[in-house]
Amino acid sequence: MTATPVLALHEVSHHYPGGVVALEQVSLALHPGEFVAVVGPSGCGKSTLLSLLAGLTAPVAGRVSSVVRSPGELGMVFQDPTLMPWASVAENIALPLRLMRRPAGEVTARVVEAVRQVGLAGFEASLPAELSGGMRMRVAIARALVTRPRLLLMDEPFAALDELTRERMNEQLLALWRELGITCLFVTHSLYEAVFLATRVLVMAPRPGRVIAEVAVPAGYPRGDAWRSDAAFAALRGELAAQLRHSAEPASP
Amino acid sequence: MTWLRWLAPLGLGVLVLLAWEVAVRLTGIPVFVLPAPSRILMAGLESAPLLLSSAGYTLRLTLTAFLAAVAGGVLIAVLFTGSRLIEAALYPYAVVLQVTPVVAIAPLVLIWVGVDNASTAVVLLAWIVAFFPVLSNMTLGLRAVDPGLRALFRLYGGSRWQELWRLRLPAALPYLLSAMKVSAGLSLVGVVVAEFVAGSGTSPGLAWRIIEAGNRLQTPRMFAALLLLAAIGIGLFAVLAWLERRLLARWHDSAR
Ligand SMILES: Nc1ncnc2c1ncn2[C@@H]1O[C@H](COP(=O)(O)OP(=O)(O)O)[C@@H](O)[C@H]1O
Ligand SMILES: [Mg+2]
Repeated sequence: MTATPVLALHEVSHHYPGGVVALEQVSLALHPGEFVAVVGPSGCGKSTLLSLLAGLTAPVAGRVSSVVRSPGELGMVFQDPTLMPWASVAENIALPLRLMRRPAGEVTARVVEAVRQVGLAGFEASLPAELSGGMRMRVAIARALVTRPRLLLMDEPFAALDELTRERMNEQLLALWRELGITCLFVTHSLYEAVFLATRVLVMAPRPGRVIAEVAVPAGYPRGDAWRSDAAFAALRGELAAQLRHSAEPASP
Repeated sequence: MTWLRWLAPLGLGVLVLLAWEVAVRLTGIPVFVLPAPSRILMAGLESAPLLLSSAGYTLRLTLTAFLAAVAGGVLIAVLFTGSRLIEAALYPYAVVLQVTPVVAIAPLVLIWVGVDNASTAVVLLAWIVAFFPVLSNMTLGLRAVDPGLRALFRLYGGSRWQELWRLRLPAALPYLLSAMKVSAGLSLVGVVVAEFVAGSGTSPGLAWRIIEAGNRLQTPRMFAALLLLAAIGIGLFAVLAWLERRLLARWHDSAR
């Protein structure tokens, strides 16, 4: 692996008021160009992890190191599209650039580019309420890409989508990742999705939230239905499922 | 089915008016107790210039108080969102102002503003009644912001000013518009009540016309003035409901 990670946590712990230990002693590193998936049951601290990595939350203990220095170098996609319901698709996508006070000409050009990347051409003037769930998520992805980030953090972005849409979005996300050469961290509770997308999968366990295993996915890209029906795919999924089951046994309520 | 929404109340109104007319004629009830609709119409037409100019005056005062209430309520709400300290300090007084009956404050305000400035006193009193719903709804709306969007604003280094303009104010718009409908009605109530207290001949508004007609037992004219007041209230409400639909129809659930 390359020497300097794009983003790393060093023995980071975090708890919330009320005594919930969301993360304990978590260390991880993201290397340039990687696609890392994080899987784990609900409440194991995945969202907290992203929030710390994005610098939105300061950890109670430990250190976050990052090569990201200015806004726009890091993009984020949440589980909900979190769009402004009153603003058009184009205005929603333009938001990061507007907040960064970029010149109008640049905003227009970048929005056109991002709209094309997620395949939303023709819907620039639509409002979020007029779009399907999958299209809204595309808007959120375009908004994260519009600043040309080096790093993309995604928090269960496709969890609310139907199976078919999700598979299509997975393939398109991989294509974008390869085209743009960005580093991705993708949180999901679907092992299927994790194995399909990632170069590396981190398995988390709850109470306290920690990384208990790391599984490399040795398959190359591009990936498609052939990879989904590969024997190695099923084996990796089985291995991850076993890890998760194992982690859940002692601490389950 | 839209025609039903218009036709049903209209039909009911016509029926009631007819029944009223017939009942008054049959029973021979004195006109100063209950005039027939036809008498009210005649009285209205006879004194139309006077009543309409009074209505104009009342409407002007109502609109002034209403706009001041909206501006004041929004401004104070924005201050509240900017600083918890300001909110903690001011909010109790806003509540005190709200719960104290206007009629009780009216004589004081009249003394302070001066009996010669009756219309200023009326506007001030109506403002006191009307601004609270705007303040409380707007404060709520400015806070009802998607936490995910707020995180996004922080991620891209958005300033508080940008958060206000791009996020909080648009998010509060539905709250503001619904408060405006309440506040417009309260402005009218405030103006009428204040005029009753402050009027005494100096105030040429509809409220004074009602008192005057009452003193002279001109009940049909009282009814005509009352109808004009109701028309002003309905008109204001209709304009605001239309505005709400125009501004929110495409994105807010309440307007769909
Ligand atoms: N703002 C908060 N205040 C208190 N507890 C929280 C907060 N956010 C998350 N938690 C708790 O921290 C734990 C981890 O939450 P989260 O990171 O959202 O997990 P995940 O995304 O894996 O479902 C959970 O037990 C959750 O209840
Ligand atoms: Mg989560």
